[in-house]
Parts: sequence; structure tokens; C-alpha cells
Amino acid sequence: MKELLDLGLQVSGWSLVLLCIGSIWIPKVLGWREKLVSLTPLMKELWWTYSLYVWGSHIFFAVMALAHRDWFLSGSPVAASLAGFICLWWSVRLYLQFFGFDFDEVEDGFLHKAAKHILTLLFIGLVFVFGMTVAWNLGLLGKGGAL
Amino acid sequence: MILLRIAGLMCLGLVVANLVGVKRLKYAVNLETSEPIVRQIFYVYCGYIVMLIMGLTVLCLGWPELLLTDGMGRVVCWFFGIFWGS
Repeated sequence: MKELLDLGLQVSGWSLVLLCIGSIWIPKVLGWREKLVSLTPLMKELWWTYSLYVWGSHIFFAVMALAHRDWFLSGSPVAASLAGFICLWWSVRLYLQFFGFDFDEVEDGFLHKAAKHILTLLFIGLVFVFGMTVAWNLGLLGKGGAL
Repeated sequence: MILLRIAGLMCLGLVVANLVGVKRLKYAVNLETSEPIVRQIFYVYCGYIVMLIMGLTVLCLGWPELLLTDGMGRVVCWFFGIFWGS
């Protein structure tokens, strides 16, 4: 089980790296510059600042998943907490993917649809892997953990 | 450790400030003329930032010693160092 989770974390980490790289094109693909024209300067600055911080957080998650897998699977309560935080982060994102965002304004082309489905699968995968990592660290999946 | 707990209290203040800021900075009014997806993404971003700061608050107030350990403690400190430094 530990080896499977290790593999899962590696796949998650590389997926997050690809997400971070792909995110660079999101402002252009979704036409953010045009859409943000109506906002005040402060709101625009907050928008870009927050989006950079969220992007930075995704880089952090990728670094953790790739470079600190041993720690993530150490069976400690701290590892469970951090994995739980990341699982919660992606759970929220997954919820928004289905029930939150209004995608009507996004172009209906093949590439946009494919990207949407790939992202949905990615979010499902991340929730699953980090959820399993929490369970491992809590000792619910074998000899992992803290409980 | 005391300094980390003080930092945790400051982060707690920031969480509260972010919640107050929604009304003070008139997010709803300023976002009225924008498209629904812009409004949604903006609020989601705000939520995620508050989530991050809340996580740091819990860490600093509850388990500051974890930030002083080698390995993960250092990585998390680096992340938040860059977060606040930027």
C-alpha cells in the first residue's frame, strides 16, 4: 500500500507541475485582461496577486508531493494534517468544478471541453491520493499510522 | 516559539481583516459590472487565501515547534517566507 501511495504522490506531483505550467496560459485562454477591464485598479491588483499566490501554492504542493514523499507517508499526525489540508483544498476545487463555476461564458470548442474534463479528472485524482494519504497516516490503511 | 505564537495571532487578525475587507472594500459593488465567472473566481481566490492564512494560524498557535523541525518545518517556513515576502 505504501508503494502505491508513493506512486500516487509522484503522479500527483507531476500532474501539479503540468497544471502549474498550463496555468500560465489560463489568463490568455479565458481572456482575463478583457474581462477585468470593468474592475477598479485595486480589485485588478487583488485579482492578480491572489491568482499568483494560488499558483504559488500549487507549486508548493507539487514540491511537497515530489520531494517529501517519505515524510508524507511517515505515519505522523502532522503529515496527516498537511495531507488533509491539501485534500480539503482540492475537494473545494472539485466541488466548484461541478457546482460553483458558471462555465457558460467559456468557449464551447473541443479544446476547452477537453481541458475541462482533464482538469476534472485531475481534481478527482488529487482528492483521492491525498485522501488516501490522510488515511494511511491515521493508520486506517494498514501499518501507516498515528492512531 | 513565543514569536511564532505572536505571528499566529497576527495571522488570526489578518483572517478577520480579510473577512471585514469584503464589505469595507465593497467587493460586491465593485464586482457588480463584471461577468459572473470573474465574480466567482475572485471570491474563490479570497477563500483560498483565507484558508492558507488560517492554516498558518493554526500551525503557529497550536504547534509552533513543528516549524522549528528540520525537513518539513523548513520547507513550510520557506513557503510562508516567500508568501509574506512577496
